[in-house]
Amino acid sequence: MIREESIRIPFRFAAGRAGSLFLASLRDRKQILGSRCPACRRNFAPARPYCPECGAEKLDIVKLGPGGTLLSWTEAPGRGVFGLIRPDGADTAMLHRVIGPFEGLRSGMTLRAVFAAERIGHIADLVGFEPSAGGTS
Amino acid sequence: MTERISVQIEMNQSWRYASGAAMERFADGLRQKRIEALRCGGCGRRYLPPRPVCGNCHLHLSEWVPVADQGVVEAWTVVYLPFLDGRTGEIRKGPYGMALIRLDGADTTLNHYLAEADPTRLAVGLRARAVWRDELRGAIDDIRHFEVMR
Repeated sequence: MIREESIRIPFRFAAGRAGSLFLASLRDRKQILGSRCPACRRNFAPARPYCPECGAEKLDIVKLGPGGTLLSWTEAPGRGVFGLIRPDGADTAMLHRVIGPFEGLRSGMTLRAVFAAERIGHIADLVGFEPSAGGTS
Repeated sequence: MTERISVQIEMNQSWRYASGAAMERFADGLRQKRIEALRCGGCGRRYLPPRPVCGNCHLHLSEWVPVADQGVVEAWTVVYLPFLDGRTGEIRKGPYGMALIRLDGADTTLNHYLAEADPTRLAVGLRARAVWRDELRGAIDDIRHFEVMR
């Protein structure tokens, strides 16, 4: 017997201090924010509350972008392309949607951020990243 | 301090699950309000829900024995925190009772809901019987819950 089942899981989570700043900035200014660790000087994307490398808790907010660099990607059949994108100025990558066809993507290529017209303070306010015209590595 | 953002997310999870031969027979039985356990030929332990291998003897089980749809409350609790029902994804509002019930004819317990949510009216050793749904699908929630027999 093969059972086919499905469930719906609705939930809410508190984005926290850094996460709230990040989301509000996407919504209000179409600006990607990261966190800079004053101790080890890494820039993390997206903004986060503490440094995962050295444990420092008082991170500075930094502006990242406007675009980013594609590091790697995969295709989820029927759902589009997802990639690890390192926003300009960041030392780490974010998992997000890559807009456009799977074919022609290259590691190291330049992407630009695409924002939704209506933004609500959600990660989907940043619709994804798409190859910028003439983008090169 | 700045604005605090709360993020709404809805996940839709779907899966296909191979129930195995023992669970298949168990589930088919539920559709006719028939409950059966698997008995170990080595130690005699009667497993409900049925399992293919005895946890004590590691023998393969194949002897089906009938089990009643009522039994004894072996442990119980009352849940006050609204919680996701894993079978539906819907919030199950508290308070509601849950119990480990050893059905007559079985040696292990079944984890299920109780109709009773008043802790002063619950006790280990109480007898409870299954309340079946009108529409039977061949799944463990064909039993809506157990009600305490008073």
